[in-house]
Amino acid sequence: MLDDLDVLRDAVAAYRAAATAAGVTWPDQPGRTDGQPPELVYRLFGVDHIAEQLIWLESQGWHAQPLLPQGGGLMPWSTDADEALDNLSFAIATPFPWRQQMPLFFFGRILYTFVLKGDHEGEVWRSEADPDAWDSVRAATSLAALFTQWTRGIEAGVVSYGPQVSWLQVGDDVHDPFDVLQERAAHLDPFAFPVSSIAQQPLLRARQRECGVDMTCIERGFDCQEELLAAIDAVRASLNS
Amino acid sequence: MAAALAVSLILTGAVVGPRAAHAEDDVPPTTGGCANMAVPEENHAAIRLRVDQPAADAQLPVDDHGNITVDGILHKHATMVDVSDGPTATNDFTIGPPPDGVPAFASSWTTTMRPPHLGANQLCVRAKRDPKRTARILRSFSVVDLIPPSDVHDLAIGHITSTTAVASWGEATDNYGLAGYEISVDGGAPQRTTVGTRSYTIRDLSPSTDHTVSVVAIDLAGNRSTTAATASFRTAEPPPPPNGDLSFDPEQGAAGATWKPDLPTEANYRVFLNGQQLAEFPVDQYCQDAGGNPASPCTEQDVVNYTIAPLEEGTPYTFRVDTLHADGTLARTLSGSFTTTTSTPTVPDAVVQQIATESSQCAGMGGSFYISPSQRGRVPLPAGSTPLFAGCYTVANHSCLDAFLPPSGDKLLDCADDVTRLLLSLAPAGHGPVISSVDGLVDYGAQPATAAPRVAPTDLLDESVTWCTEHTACTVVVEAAVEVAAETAIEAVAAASVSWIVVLGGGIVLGVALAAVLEALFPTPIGFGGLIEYPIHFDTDFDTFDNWGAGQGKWIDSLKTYAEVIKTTNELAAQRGLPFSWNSTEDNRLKETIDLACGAQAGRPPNVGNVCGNGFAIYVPGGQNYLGKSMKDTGTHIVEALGNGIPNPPARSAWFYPARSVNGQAAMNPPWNYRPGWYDTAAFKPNVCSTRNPSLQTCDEFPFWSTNQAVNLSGQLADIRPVPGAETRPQANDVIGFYNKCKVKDNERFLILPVPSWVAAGGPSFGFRVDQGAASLCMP
Repeated sequence: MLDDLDVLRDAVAAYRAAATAAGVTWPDQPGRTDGQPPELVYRLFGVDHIAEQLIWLESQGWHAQPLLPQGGGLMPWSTDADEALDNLSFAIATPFPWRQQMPLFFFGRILYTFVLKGDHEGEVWRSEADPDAWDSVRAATSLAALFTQWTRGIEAGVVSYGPQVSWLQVGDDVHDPFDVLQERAAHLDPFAFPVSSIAQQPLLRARQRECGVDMTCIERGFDCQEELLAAIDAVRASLNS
Repeated sequence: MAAALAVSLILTGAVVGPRAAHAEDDVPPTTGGCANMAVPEENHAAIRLRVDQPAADAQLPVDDHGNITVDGILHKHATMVDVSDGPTATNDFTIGPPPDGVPAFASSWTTTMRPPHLGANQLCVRAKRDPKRTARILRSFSVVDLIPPSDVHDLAIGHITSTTAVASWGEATDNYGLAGYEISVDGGAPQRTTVGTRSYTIRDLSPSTDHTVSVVAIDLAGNRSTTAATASFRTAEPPPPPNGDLSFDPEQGAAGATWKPDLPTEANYRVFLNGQQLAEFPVDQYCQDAGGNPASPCTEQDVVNYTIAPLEEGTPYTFRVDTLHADGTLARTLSGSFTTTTSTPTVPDAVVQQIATESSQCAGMGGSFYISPSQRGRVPLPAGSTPLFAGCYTVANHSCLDAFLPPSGDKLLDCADDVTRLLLSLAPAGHGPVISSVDGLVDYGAQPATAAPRVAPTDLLDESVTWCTEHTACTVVVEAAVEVAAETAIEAVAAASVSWIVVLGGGIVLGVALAAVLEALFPTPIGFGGLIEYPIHFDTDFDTFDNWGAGQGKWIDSLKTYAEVIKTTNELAAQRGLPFSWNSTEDNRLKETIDLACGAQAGRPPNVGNVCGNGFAIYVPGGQNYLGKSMKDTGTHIVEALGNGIPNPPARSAWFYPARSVNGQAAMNPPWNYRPGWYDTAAFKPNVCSTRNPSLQTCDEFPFWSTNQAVNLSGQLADIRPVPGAETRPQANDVIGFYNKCKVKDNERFLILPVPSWVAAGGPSFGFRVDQGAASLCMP
């Protein structure tokens, strides 16, 4: 879902305020840009338009800074087609064409993408680079919804500035953060937070079914991923031709 | 000899009693306690031992349980000692009143025993009466089996294509011993299979034709089951001809699909296999000119040639091409079907089955040796050899080998008899073990007995031609080396065991594993402390290298590992133009690394002459992943965590040999309860990853999270290091690819071999499996 731009601005501002209050050093004068995507982005993801919500977010200039939970950061517009396509190599079984999503937030093993087109446009999806996870699932129905979840996480005390690191951490520094989210902030959606769902198999699979994930593909695992890798290779080749 | 011979020893048919560990040279055949009898009966008036059954030279049938009943009488104050038949002996007797017509001084005695083989046998019956009075009777007779095996059941036909089908059936039983099955298609000549082979691929059928299959079981006496199992089937329709301009060139594991481009209408192609999308690519990508050269830009005179792979052999597939305009809309659809071809075995299936079945039958009938059909007429028969059937012989003296049967462990046969003298005569002069001599293999192609080797030396070192596990009657099999190699194909389905007889000069070694046999030939003091001392180098031509453990058999698997790393890195470097080459320093380091890794595999301390086993996969990390994506920092981290091949502290050597743990379950299980990202938790902070920028970097951990050594499960805290975030997914894809392409299952162990110079050169990761026969690349 694409947010009303004002709603998105408000949600991001609320997150920034909460994160700053929690201890995150937010740059006063981030390197703002006009936010316009390079032509490569259109070709890379096979789309002819980019939502203004995404353009606005990219214009904020937060790149390369650990402002998000778990120290995650906003990824810049793709300028390296190979790397961008590789980043989608775990986004299997999505209910929309794999190519119509753009890597947006980097959290190490976990990557969030923004859906650029179709019925799912504006949704934020996540996947984890783990040999056995196959955990593509929707993180939030929109950018505003995602930032709102994070803000509420800070307010609920399940996202806090971590000791001995310089970023916001999810959980209590001891227990499985996913468990902490479920037990101490039941009103929040744990899948909105960039923590591994690898130990949450029944819940994860149920959520995937709800989101329209191709469960046959999930069950096929590596075979399905190899098909995605082949499709990525084909797109890479077509871009280079 | 024109062809190299392999000699193995197969076991079948009978329960054998304990054996002496050693036999004297040239000892004549003996029969248990009746050795050195000048006459067939040495009786005593106070014992009056008599054998009623079997009568001399009579036929005695085995019963429902495969046993014979032996009986007679003796004085009621005497005691039966034992009855023996070759290696089988019993002292379990039923003593009763004398039979009708026998005076009351006597008792009857009865015992049952399983004869070691069918055909000619010789019993030794002994009794005694105190003080120090004995009686012995040596009785020659013939064992027959008149009971046929049970009928074959559950015959089914599956995997039906337009030209092939697979018949499979349930196991038959027999009172004495099953030899195999005969399958006949449409009343044609029967094909034999071995005891453990209960499926048969029927080939070369015509599409849309009806067929009937019948299967009978055969026992070691040649009896066939009473009623054949039958089943009928109809082959599939021929694949429809491709529409449009689509044509196929199917092979065993791949197929070429070719079509004419419609230019400039078409810009891209989207291809599907069995309805699943395989790829999408532009017109130019697989465009070829008439000479088969890449053509870019593609013209209407060219063709698009797309290779569909990997595919299963002998399997039908449907293939579709959606041709797309530049705007992505559909221009046209091409579709068609094809069936991949099936492989032609080097040695025909029928030959392999014949050897397996007949050698098993030879053992069951008490044959001393069996000669495969290809070798008959080439092998000098010992004087006095008596044929039991074509290729199967008994000899007068087989005492030497008999003394070591059934095989257990590895033995040097320091004795001689007719069989061992035969083996010595077959050994190629100046060569090592006969099976490592591959010059002049039997060629089943158009030119028999070609001088060109058809299989690599390592392929011949596979001792797993196994059948008849449940039996222990033995015969020596003399066959071509290539036939031995071919028999590996039935290993999985033929439950059996084969032991090896290796001849070198005047020494003959018997053992259950070839590598161990070779090692037994060269007992200490072989002064090798490790592979690093082995006389082999990075510039060795491994395609012709023929010293696979001839002198140091235990190094075979380490050598295979070493050779595979050298060969693969050289080949990949040449293919990709990488700045990589081996030198003595890196070569020695690799050998030392393999020694250490093999030590970890064996669970031994480093530097004690450790050797690798087989049946596992090896991951060699690179500076790129197997797909060619950079993971330079991650690859460097892995090799440095392993001390660039020489772990420091030494306890990290355990990291060479982790086991896969799906989802990292080993670390997540109690009592650990670790989770991904454990390095960011209070128990492990601060650390080198605490100061990373998580929006740009990933904390890489080694050993991998997805192993049983994650975090600190190995007893050593995992090595962690920030690496560029862009390497996260390439590295994860590498590990996934290795697990899946090299078939590393949950909880299965694998080796990690760090080659720092390979990572530094940006070489791609690769994986291979080391199995008994050879090492084989499984990734990329």
